[in-house]
Amino acid sequence: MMPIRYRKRIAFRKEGKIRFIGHLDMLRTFQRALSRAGVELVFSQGFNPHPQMSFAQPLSLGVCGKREYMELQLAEPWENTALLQRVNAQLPEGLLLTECRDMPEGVKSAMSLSTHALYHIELPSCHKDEYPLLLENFLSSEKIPIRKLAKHHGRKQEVEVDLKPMIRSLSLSEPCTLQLWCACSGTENLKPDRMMRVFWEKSGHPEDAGTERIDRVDLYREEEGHMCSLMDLLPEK
Amino acid sequence: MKHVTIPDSILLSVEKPARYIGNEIGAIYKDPEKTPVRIAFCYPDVYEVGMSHLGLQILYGDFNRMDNVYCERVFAPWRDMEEQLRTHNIPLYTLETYTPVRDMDFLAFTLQYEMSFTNVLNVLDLSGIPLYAKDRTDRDPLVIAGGPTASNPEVLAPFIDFFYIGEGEVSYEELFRRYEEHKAAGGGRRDFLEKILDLGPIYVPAFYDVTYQDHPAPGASRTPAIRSITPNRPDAPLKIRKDIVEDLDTAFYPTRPIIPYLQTIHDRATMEIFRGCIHGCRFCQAGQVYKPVRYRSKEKVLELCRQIIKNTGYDEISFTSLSTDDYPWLKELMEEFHREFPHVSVSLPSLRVDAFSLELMQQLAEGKKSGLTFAAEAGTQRLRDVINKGLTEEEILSGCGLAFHGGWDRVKLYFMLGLPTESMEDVDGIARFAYRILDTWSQIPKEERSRDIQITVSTSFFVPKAFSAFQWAPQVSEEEYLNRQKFLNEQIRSRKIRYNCHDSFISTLEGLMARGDRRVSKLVYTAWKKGCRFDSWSDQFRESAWREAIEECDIELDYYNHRERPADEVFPWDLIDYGVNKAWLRREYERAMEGIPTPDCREHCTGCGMMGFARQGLCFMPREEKK
Repeated sequence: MMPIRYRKRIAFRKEGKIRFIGHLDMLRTFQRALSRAGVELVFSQGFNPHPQMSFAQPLSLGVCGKREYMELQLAEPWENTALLQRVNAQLPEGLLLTECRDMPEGVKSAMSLSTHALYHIELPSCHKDEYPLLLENFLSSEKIPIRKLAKHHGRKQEVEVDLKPMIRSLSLSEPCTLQLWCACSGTENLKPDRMMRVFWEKSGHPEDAGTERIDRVDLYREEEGHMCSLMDLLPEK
Repeated sequence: MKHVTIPDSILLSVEKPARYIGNEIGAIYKDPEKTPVRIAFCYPDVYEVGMSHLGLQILYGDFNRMDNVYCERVFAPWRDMEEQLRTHNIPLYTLETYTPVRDMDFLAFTLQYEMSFTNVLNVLDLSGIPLYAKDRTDRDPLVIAGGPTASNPEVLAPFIDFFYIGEGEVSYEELFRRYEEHKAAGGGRRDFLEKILDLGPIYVPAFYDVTYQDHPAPGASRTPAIRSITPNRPDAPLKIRKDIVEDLDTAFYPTRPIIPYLQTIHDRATMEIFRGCIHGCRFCQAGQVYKPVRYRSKEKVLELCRQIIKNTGYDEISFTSLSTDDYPWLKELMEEFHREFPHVSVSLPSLRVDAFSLELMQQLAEGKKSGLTFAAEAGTQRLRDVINKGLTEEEILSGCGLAFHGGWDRVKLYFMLGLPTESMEDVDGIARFAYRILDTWSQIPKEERSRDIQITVSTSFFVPKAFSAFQWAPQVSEEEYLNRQKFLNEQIRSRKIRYNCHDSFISTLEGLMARGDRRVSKLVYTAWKKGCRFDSWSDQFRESAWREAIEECDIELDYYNHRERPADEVFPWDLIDYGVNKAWLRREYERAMEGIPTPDCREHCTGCGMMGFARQGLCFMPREEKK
């Protein structure tokens, strides 16, 4: 029999220095904060029970999250505002829960719903005038290949991946800000820091790699051509 | 005061940037304007290692309890970060306020092992603080060192302004109070060092002169032994007495520890249940320098556990001490803890294996059966009598028998090679020991034991340490270490027995640092200059650089390591008083040579000296029978 559980989808921000902690370290941080806040999670059944907590999509190290998603299965009912307050009091600077909604029975997890992400990429102002042309060149290439370590034929090895098909749109929203819509799901996930490394190499300023500031604005599900934020998929209450 | 800014591009380019950002839950933030005494506390290894250290959490919490003090942390940056800091000319900074370490009042190192010495120098250098104490000015922080490895302070003596001997919870409060006064009055660093001599545990190397004999020591070709170490000013004490906490129940304990983001070596809460050890293993330094045994009451332990669990959210806690079995109320503690916190698992290091502990482990593991570990230390009873390790082969075999019946299938055995008086027969005894455990398993009917068995034999090389009974003993040469290792490896033929061993050169260096004197300091400096860092990390250790440094500094291993030291030799650490008499240690050494064991403190007092040092009755509390 399934234990009684209350499912919540929670949006949170990850910014400041804490964006330099990895996904697993952040997960442990949340687990301990919940425990200190007295929020009891439901444990999975089976040989090695673990608390029921999941995230939509991991954020690359160093990237700010403006609306990240976490889902919890609670052992007791919690009022959403009270839950946010109690947990926020236990979180380190830089992590902040901002919204919480109930997930009705049958609603799919954020992890399986997410298809796209929106990123804002702040570029250094020193090459301000070059960006329109650099972007045009970057997008005109047929492929944007990167090499990465991946499981291939059962063992880890370097494989070539083309980022181009994962970019839905990339434009300058301000003179020094790139706006990137890209694939972000369990099967296809563009890492903007990897894309930017290629951008800087092609731009003739390889020394500027890593100088951009990346924010992930939100995660979305594409439905009938529209992008719908994962939080807005749930009824407001 | 200036703050350091670390560009994102640097943090993105190094491995595990979380090592360098601070901001953890439990980290303490104060207004530096309101704290006249500022300390950078340094564990001279990488963040994850340092943050696993209980002593850091204790002193960090204890110092920050004081309103006039702000204690922050600093660790040894990994090589990638060091390169970035040097390239961008960024001074080493504290994790709390990003203040340059060189702008602090104190830089306090905790010394936990000898192979961290090059990191101490590197931290000083990256901070922009002159390496040698004599070159520092009133603008530089006062550099302190403490911890068990400060028991022989001499190898680092030229780099340290003062050592604090013993447990830090005792005299720092008064020391910082005096510093605040001194600073307000505009006093200089040398005057301050003079003002703290009467506190007791303070050793200022600059206030002592070392003289040497005119001729090489017997057994050495060119290095003379020490003739004397004497104060060069009247108020410098002749003996530096360690500080000890008398009552653990009233002592400070960190119930809001810092919770690292990164997974550390011990990723759990830590509860120290007692300090000190009643056993007198003759190779053991900790057993002597942490004397006497002081228990924390069961009630206090539970009270602290309640707070720690509430404040941290950890779901695992470790009850630590030098030998868990000797805690008088272990069974009751475990029962009461389990009743109150059914979801918090407990780990008990250093547990002896018997019926009681197996039942405990069964409870702890809840189905998961991790390996059994035995520190047998030596392969024959003769040699175990020499080292006074009160653990017999029968006890281990019967423990294993019980465990195999209970389904355990992995056994780890720890031994030392190169112990005093060791012969090839003793080395062979290690292999025979492992085979007898295998026999114990084979003799159990198949349906009552696990299907397979894995026995792991690990050997390390014995390194004589200051304040252990073996401080006079010769250390086996590198070549001889390897002979014994090779011989043992040849005796182990079964595929069910695996053999792991250590690097012999690192043990040689460790021995050199452990019993070295001020003349060895230039070796540490030279090795550091040649790029040596993180020497306790086998993948970072630069053997050839160390060998060159030994050559260049003309360090004679026959003098420092290989000879037996005469009974009346002046040791570099003779000024330091841990409460245990040198005469008693010598008696222990002689008994060792005759193969006579010495009873532990529970059986009867053998007059080590602690009784007179500590308050009456503090030495030992009678242990209640285990039921």
